[in-house]
Amino acid sequence: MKRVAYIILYFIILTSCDESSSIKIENKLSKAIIRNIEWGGIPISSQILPGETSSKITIRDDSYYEIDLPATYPLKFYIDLNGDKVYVQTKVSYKLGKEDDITIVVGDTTSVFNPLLEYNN
Amino acid sequence: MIKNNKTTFFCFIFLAMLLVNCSKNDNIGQFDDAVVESETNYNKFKQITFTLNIANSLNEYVNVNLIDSVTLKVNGKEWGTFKSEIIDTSYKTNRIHDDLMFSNTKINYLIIAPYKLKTDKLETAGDFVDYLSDRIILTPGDYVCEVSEIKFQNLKKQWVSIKPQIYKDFTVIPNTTSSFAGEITITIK
Repeated sequence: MKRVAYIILYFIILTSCDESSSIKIENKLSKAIIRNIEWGGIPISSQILPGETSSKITIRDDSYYEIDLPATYPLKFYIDLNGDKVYVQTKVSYKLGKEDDITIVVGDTTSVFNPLLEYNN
Repeated sequence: MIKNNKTTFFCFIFLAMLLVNCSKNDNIGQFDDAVVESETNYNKFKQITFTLNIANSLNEYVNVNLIDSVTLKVNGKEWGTFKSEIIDTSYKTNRIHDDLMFSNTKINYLIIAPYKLKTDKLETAGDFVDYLSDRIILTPGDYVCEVSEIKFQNLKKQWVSIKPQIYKDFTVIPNTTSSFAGEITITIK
């Protein structure tokens, strides 16, 4: 009986301390694959096909990634069309708070820029 | 003892330098060019070169240091706007008319025209997809380029703009990156 009480207590402690957050990306770009997506230095997915949503990346305070939540960062990724790639990052930064679960949608109207092209213009 | 302290001190400095160097390694997005082409893309053609001269009805040739702007189109799409190479045309002037210097001998201006993507209206991810899909890819074969506009300055530093709509053929040979389109003559009144 004591043992069961301990186990229940253990689970209560575990769940009450779990301040994990998660992030996933949806590719709503027509025709193009988005690759090597990262947010705040965290790799989200190596590639997402049009219409696909990435797997959920869970971030905890004690996780491998050196990031303190809440945190706000832009998305950085490659747009790939028929093997030709261009690097972009979003103009908007996305906030991930503690215990947040966010889905960022990359679509045709998502504001992005390439630093190299910005310098040249 | 002092020597040991010194060694430790320099070790710390060295370690700190290594750490600083490592933390500066933020090279994301640093491309030589905005587009990284597919390795399977064998159509590497990139550049048209030609010479251009501007003649009047008396067979006199416009004499300027350079043609400031030559706008080219290929396949109905804009290939880019280019300057000619600067040449020394001193002592070649035979006549001045309407603030323009003319020479009796032909003056050819060399135009080197690498394909230039227009990048001034890229605001959204959709724009970048269009940017990739609209790029002109010339597979081996015969093509025609159009000189749609040229601009140069007269002696009063005023712009002279001509829209000649002159066409010139050129050939893309397999496994080459450029083609010489020959000589283009533009006639002005």
